[in-house]
Amino acid sequence: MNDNRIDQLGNTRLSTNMSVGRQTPKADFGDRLQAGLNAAQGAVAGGLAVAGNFIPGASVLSAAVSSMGTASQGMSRTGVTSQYASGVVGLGGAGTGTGGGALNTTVGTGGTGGVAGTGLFTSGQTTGTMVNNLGGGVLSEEANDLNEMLNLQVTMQRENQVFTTLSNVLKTRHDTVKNTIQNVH
Amino acid sequence: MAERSTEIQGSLVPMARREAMFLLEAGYLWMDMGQFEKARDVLAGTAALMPRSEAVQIALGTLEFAQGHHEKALQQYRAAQRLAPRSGLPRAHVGEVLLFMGKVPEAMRELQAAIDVEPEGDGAKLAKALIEAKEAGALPPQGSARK
Repeated sequence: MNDNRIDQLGNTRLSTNMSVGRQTPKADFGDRLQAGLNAAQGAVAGGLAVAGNFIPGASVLSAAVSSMGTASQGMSRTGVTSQYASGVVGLGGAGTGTGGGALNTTVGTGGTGGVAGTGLFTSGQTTGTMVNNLGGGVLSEEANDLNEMLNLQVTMQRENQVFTTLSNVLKTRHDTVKNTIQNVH
Repeated sequence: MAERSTEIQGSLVPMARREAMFLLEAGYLWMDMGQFEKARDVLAGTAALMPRSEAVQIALGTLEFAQGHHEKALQQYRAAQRLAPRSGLPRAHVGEVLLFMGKVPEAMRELQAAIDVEPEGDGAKLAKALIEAKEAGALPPQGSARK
């Protein structure tokens, strides 16, 4: 009577197999991308841990400064470049490790970073002393954090200046060699 | 535009400029590849062929400098300076190697002389770049002893 019943013809079969887990490893594009991101996240987290304990807001700066040492290690070490690279090695480590003393060193000659840094450091010390006298420990801690932040900024500026000037020397050297060869007489 | 001579002046045997350029280029290429012995073979031969060319002496000085042999590099650069006393480039290189040896006052004198001798030349450009690097604290490099 009812033509809509599915078992009317009597040849319909229902599969009762249970689903099983994937037998081959799943390695499509999404999985690979996720694995890459996880690896990068681990690397960045390792860098942040260096200065994150000391300065709550300066983690990114610390990572940037640390990367300078890595960059210097990656420089080509053949020929003249290796001689100039010797002046760059170790900048990153010094940058992350320096405390308040870094601001007392001159950054370049007549560089605005050096002048501003020294002035801010002095004002930071004064602020810290005043706050301590008032019994404001939290503010003092924030002032110290600010000083650490400034230290990192000054260190980064110095590293940037060193890289720029050495790059300029190497480029000039290369141009000089090219001209010398072309004008040989 | 003045036509350039196609032969190297004062060469041991007649030698075309193109050949000299090729030999110098080969020497610098070996040097940049870190193959210092091969670079030395090529450049020493070129120096024998072109005994009056300061360019070859500068190349030999650069070869020594690249290996960290500052004293030998200084000798080669001085030889280039004797061959071309009116050129600023050998002086700039002398200043450079003196800077790496930690002899800062002497180096600054040589670099300034390189600028004075040929203010618009390559030597002056290199000297200015080195002075800037020194003023930025990038040079002399860490560990260069004052001799």
